[in-house]
Amino acid sequence: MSTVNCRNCNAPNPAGSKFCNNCGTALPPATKLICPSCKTPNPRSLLYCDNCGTRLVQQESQPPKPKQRPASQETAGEEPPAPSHRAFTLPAREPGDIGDLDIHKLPDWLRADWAGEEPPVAGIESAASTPVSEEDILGSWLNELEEVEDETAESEVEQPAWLTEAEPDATSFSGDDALPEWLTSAEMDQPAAPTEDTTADSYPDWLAETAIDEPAMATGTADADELPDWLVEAGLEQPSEAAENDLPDWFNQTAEEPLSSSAGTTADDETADWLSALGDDEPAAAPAEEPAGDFSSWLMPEETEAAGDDDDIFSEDLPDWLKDSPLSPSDSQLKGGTDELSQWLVDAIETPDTAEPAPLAAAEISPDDDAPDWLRDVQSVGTAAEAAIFGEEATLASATEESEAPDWLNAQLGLDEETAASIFTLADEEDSGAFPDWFSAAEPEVPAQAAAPTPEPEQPSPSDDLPDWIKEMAPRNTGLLDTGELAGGEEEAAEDNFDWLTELSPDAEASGGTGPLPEIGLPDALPDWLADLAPPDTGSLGRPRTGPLPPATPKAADKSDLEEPDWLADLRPADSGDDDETPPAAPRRRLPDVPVTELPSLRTDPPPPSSEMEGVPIELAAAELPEWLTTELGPPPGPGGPSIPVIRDVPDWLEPNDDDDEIAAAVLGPPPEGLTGAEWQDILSGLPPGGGAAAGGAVATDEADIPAWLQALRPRALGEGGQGQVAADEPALTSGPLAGLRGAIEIEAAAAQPREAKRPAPATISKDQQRQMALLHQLMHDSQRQAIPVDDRPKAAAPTWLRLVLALLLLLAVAAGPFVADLLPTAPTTLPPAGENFYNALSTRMGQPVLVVFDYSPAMAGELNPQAAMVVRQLRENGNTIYAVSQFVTGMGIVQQLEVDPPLESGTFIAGEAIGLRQLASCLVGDAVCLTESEAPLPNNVALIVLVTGERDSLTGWVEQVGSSTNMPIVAAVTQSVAPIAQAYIATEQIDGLISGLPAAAAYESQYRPGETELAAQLAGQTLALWLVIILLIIGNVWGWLYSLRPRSTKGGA
Amino acid sequence: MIEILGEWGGLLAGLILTLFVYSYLWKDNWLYRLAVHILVGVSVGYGAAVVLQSAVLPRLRELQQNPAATESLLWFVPVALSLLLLFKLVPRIAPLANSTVAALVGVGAAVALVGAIAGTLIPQIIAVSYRPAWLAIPAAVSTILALSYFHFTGRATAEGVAPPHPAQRWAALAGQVILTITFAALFAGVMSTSLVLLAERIQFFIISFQDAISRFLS
Repeated sequence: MSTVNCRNCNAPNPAGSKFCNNCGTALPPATKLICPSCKTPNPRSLLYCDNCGTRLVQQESQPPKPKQRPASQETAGEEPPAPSHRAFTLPAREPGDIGDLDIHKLPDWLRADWAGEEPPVAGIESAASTPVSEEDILGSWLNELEEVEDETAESEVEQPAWLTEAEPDATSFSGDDALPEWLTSAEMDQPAAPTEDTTADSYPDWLAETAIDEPAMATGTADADELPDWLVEAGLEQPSEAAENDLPDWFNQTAEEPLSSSAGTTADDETADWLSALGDDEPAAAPAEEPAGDFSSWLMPEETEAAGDDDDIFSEDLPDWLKDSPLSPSDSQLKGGTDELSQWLVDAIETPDTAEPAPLAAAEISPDDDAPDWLRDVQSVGTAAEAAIFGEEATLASATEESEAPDWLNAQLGLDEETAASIFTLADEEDSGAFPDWFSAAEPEVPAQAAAPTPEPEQPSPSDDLPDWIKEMAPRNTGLLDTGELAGGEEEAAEDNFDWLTELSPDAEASGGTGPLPEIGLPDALPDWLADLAPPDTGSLGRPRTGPLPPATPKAADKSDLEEPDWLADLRPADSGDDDETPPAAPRRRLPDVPVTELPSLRTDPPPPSSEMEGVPIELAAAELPEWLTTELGPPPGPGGPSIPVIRDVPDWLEPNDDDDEIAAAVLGPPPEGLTGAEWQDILSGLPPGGGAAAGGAVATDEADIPAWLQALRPRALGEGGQGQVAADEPALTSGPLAGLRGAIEIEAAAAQPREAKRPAPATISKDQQRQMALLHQLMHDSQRQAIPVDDRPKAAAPTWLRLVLALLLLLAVAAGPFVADLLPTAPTTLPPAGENFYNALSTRMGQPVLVVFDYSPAMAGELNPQAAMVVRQLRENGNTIYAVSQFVTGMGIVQQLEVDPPLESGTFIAGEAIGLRQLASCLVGDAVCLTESEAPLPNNVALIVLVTGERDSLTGWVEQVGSSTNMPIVAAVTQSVAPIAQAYIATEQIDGLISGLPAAAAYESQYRPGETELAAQLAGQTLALWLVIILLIIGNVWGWLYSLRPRSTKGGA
Repeated sequence: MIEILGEWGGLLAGLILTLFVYSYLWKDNWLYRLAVHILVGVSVGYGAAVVLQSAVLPRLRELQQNPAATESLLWFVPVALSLLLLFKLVPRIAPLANSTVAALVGVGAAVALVGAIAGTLIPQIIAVSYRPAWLAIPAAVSTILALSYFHFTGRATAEGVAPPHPAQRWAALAGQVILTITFAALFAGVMSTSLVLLAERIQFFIISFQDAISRFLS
């Protein structure tokens, strides 16, 4: 039996109790699920109504399928409709409680490719023919989150699966919802993807054939003749603009960025330096002796500064050019001014500020010996083809790398705005021409104002060397750097000036810039083109800075400013309406026409080794993933490779650090030589505060970083609206254990709706049933009654001796009758009238046939034989013909014993009783012929029927059947026992004469048969016996009466 | 001598059997039963012989003498019905005798009923009507009271009991008295007959032995 614990005292109470048996507190009523259809209470364990089958618990709505979402809803700033979560018993979790989330419980789409599945290698054929589902994409990129930086240098730089698959699926992949919203919004901004036909038409013939006939080209092997996958897919599948249109700009930029780096990158190279340096497992992943060709070597210092946890790392990660640069704080030039600055920088300082610096000819800019190492490395590791294509450009780029002094660095160096502007104006010009064409073609389509200070030197545009398709592709994506335009010296090149250069200009300062270095850290330190990798609608953080700079904060106290670079923060979705401020895209710049034969050299370039290229989506890398997710998505065991940074490590470097000094020290390292700690601190304090995202919106950042689809998976927590805003508009429960919850299915107490039991219809009992019940009741009660004996007195039985004595006395009396006849009174002589009629009947029918009936048995012979003999003798004396008949078989034998002389005429036995008598009557009247035993027919003139019988039936039969039908006179001689019946017929005159009993016979004998004494003797004995019997009866009755009067105690065994 | 022995044998057998039957006054004993069985057996045997001789043989002789006569053919029907009675001996074919039994009972009842009505009831009614009133009224009242004694019906009450009406109870009681007197008279006649028979039988034996002894002595 189940119990209910009291909420007050926790005492167990039987289920169904209303009050606590211990403290009397009202107990919550037992709750049940009320069926929404039939309102039937159901146990809580049921899912479907027991009565009507309606589902009681609404199915938990799953996250909306991305593919089913119409593209029209995929706008940049529109949040996907929140799933309707209506939970009934979904347990709430406290904040931070991840519960028992299991990877296996994750939806399939989330844990796709989890079990060590290799990311699908993008190929031309597969990408073109097989549509990739969003599950694969998401699963892959999510898998890539855990497999960060696992690739080796030998392996071709592979694009993450989510990237490689995302590119060719521009036409087949419609699951935009699977992508983060900011990504989808960015995607929406791109023009519609071209169809395959269009794409095919845009291919060069040789490339189209290659894509079809040689799918191995898309396998991503290290074949030097093959284009990188990302480039192959971008170029072959969507040579013109499909790939770029389907991908955000930041991706396109990032994807094509490694072309400028060497092919000999290491595993560390594949990981962004700033990320490798901050990794827990690889704190020194970015040593100072990083290959000069490392693309991100120049970026590493800034990123490392953002992380800022390891001084060594920081010091080592500083690019050589920064270390060696006269702008470096460690350099003596930092104290001494610009004497040791690079020539181009010195020139820039000395050059008056100008908003439109005159483009410098590529030839005029010669490689500087002070160029940073990385720039020289870039030049050295370039392949022959690259040299053929970009040789001069790379040289120029190496020269202009020196001008890539970030703002913060300028600020630190104390450069004034004019000097900085002059420097970077020159650098801008040089950079514009230093970018190779392929890189320029891959530049995102960002406004010219967002031009990034690409380290590549400005180089004359050999656009004639590039194929047309690359030329067509480049302007769409970049608009930033067009070498052709740069080379042409058009005015548009001025629009490609970097913002930070613009902001460093006196105009910017005059318009509101509060300091020469408004921000310290990456946002401004990074080149704009990299900052613009983010979508163009990323808001104030990512938008090109065309307006006045925010006021500088005296000190860089905001840790977020230091930790999160703008370019990374810009990757987040747009949270403002600053899109309108996005400047128009820069005009296309023609890429140099690259001979087809030289393309393989491009293809040998590995894909960008940056972290975001290695499978960590930039939005997730920068995002603060939920702890539950990061915990669950732990690093899968790598196939023998180095330990893979887990995704949860990503936010660590983003986690705020309250210690500003430590941050500054981490970012900038120890004070440079020649500077005291106070001076260094002053420099640090002069750093502007961080961007808005870092300063203000930690919470907003958190919310923005988590994609909507991931937010749906976040466990709800009580107290923070964890019940889900989807249920906020639903009423909260007011009763039951789930009181206060919203969105739960209505729970109603079982006792809340008392059901009135239907009273059964009264039983109807018919009258017959009532009578039967009464009879049954009576019989049952009667059966229980004790049987009352009629007479409980002991039967008084005469002893045997007494009965024998009586028998002997009776026998003696009968036997003694004839002997004592004289002693007794004489027989009666008066004959009754019936007797006289009997005699007269015989006397009047003398000589006529007479039918004498002997209907008695030998048992009656003792009484009737004397009468029969007396009648027969009289009839013989009268001369009558006597026909003897009898209904008794022994009747005829009695006739033979009468010793009648002469013997009687033939007679007959009458069978059939009444029927025989009826037939005999017919014979007597002549209607039929009845034969006697002598074969003589009975005469039909019988004058008298003399009936001698001792049986009542015989008497009535003869009277009723024969007498009434024939009207023949009947006289009867019967025994004393039949005398009363015969007397009745005498009264009706149906019998003419009657002799009844021995006394009448004796009287008849004495009157009409003188001389005979037979009947008189017999009557004497009978009379004596009768007197004896009478005496004995009187004695017996008296004795019995006296016996009954005796007390019971004295009664013997009688 | 043989006649004497025969006479004495007959008398002794009769006397012994009479005493066996007379022994019933002591109790129901095997002597009585033996005498009854002998009496019944002999009577049935004698009756069968009488029936065969008096009823069957005359019909057979008639058929033999004139088998083509119409009357003879008419006897074929009762003979056939009589033969069907033999099927009563075999249970499986016993129903074949039912028609014969039905005819006997039906015809016998009908004949008895008609004879009772025409030969007893009507003559009795007529006879009473011609009697004086002082004799007729007591006879009629006695008859009504005697019949009312056999009236057992009455109106049922809620308890399921149907007590007779008080007048009915008094009438039934009066009828019971009349019946008692009637049966007492009948019983007296039976007892008288029995005593006569006993006396006749005892006197028979006395007279028979007295004659036999006298003849034997003579």
